[in-house]
Amino acid sequence: MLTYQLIAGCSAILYSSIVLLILLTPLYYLEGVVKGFISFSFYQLKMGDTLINLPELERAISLSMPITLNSLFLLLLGLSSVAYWIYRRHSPVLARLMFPTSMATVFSTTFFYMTHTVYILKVVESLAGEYVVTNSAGILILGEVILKSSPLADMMNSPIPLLSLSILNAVLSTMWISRIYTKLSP
Amino acid sequence: MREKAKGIFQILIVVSMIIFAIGGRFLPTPLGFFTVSGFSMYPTLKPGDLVIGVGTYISPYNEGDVVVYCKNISTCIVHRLMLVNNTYAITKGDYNPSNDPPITVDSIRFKVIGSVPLLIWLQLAVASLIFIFFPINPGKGFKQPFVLETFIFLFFLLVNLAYLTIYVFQTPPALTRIPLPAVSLATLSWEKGFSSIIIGYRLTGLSIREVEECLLIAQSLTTQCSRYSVSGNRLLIHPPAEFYKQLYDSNLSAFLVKLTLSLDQGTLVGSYPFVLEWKKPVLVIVDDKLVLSNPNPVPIEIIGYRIRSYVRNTRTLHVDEVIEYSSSGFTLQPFETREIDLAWILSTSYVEVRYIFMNQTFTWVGRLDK
Repeated sequence: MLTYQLIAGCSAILYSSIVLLILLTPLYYLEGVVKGFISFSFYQLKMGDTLINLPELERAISLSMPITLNSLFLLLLGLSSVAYWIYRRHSPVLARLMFPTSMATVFSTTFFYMTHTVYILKVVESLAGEYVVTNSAGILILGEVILKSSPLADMMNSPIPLLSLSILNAVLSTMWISRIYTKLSP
Repeated sequence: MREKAKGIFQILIVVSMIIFAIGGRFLPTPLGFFTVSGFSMYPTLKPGDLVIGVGTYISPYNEGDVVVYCKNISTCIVHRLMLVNNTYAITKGDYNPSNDPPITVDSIRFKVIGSVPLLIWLQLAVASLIFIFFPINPGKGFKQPFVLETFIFLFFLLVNLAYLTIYVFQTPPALTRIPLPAVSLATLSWEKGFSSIIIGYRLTGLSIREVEECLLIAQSLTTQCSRYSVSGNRLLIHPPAEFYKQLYDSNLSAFLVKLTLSLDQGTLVGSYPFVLEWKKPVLVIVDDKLVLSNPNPVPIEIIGYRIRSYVRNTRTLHVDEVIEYSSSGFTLQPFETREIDLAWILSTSYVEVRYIFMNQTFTWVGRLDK
């Protein structure tokens, strides 16, 4: 039982740490006419000295709240599980809490991926490229915006890595809780 | 036996929910339930809203009603009825810019009588399912297996759905637009005497740093601007006199100013058309003086002038003598006004001035009365 607790705890820590890292670190860097960075939790984009506000990114920040909540709770449960394991104590309550939280992360991860694809990636793709405006004064060539993405952003290009991790985490916590209920059943 | 009945009841609940959810698509049910999946009816209906429709055989529909029509089992559309007659109907989504293609009246299945927002109906549906499938014994509370787990799972699921409903389904997606700095043309003008060309801009979030390139172009003629200066949002260009001379000699009046401006953010490339109206020199006789004015920015060559004086016999009123005086030519400089004194002429005379304008020779004749 203690082994299940350790494995499920470590898996929860791994998954939630990766998600929190993706949430907190800048995923995209922009250079050129528009300078700045974009992450799930915050962004700073400047054109010259003017700060740019993008409603789509504000929405993405708001939409990252459920997974932040979910991951923080899971991290807390994972750390508690490992701490209990260190003291050689088994906690069925932790298992009962970790199982639904892990199951919910499968949904949260899907929404998280959707938020990235629909909002952040769309904004990032629309920001990159040449900025050329034609008007009565002629052709205004503002320049180019070069996009650089972090390895964590590359991880978000496909739903498979994070979703696999969340499913693995859910499976491990299910195994732990099943073991507990199997033992309890007459 | 009781457990078996409970199981049958749960199955019946699920089956009836499925029939309620999708039955209206293929069965002539009196009521139909549909969920909105797009923004075509925004703001009347939002994505995720549960639409309740009454069969059209129970409640007839009119133009202006929101109706549900099905193309096939999987595709039903909730749109407003714009036009209807005995054979076909035209519908339109409130948020759509144009009407849908015509549909047959038979395909209209339901008239919409109301809608329930996602956040309300989904929570009610989930809560109902929990109580049906996980009946809580108040005495045992969370000690019952999987009750605590279900509540925690549903809590996170509802948080996700709530955020999705609030931030995604409430407003239609907008295109990402960055407030770009802007520049537009304000004025194109000359300074008096064509000495400088003024190009004025309206700048938003930009300022002109310097002129990278300035060319004056007229057909095959291309000349660099000799002098230019930036004054705030205005650019003053001083075209070289030779350029005007070349235009004049080539019988050209239109030219372009091609500019490449370095801005604090980016570069502006523009071509601005200008038309010079070449004017013939102004020649008049005023107060015993022949006045010649050149209104052009190029010199005009006066080939020469000739004065014919007619001396009359005061008794017979016949012309007795014609005195002719001629003078060599000169160049009338740009914008120069020259006066030639004719006071020494004592009798009525004709002044004939010959000049070259746009490669053609013209003769001007004026009369001096004495």
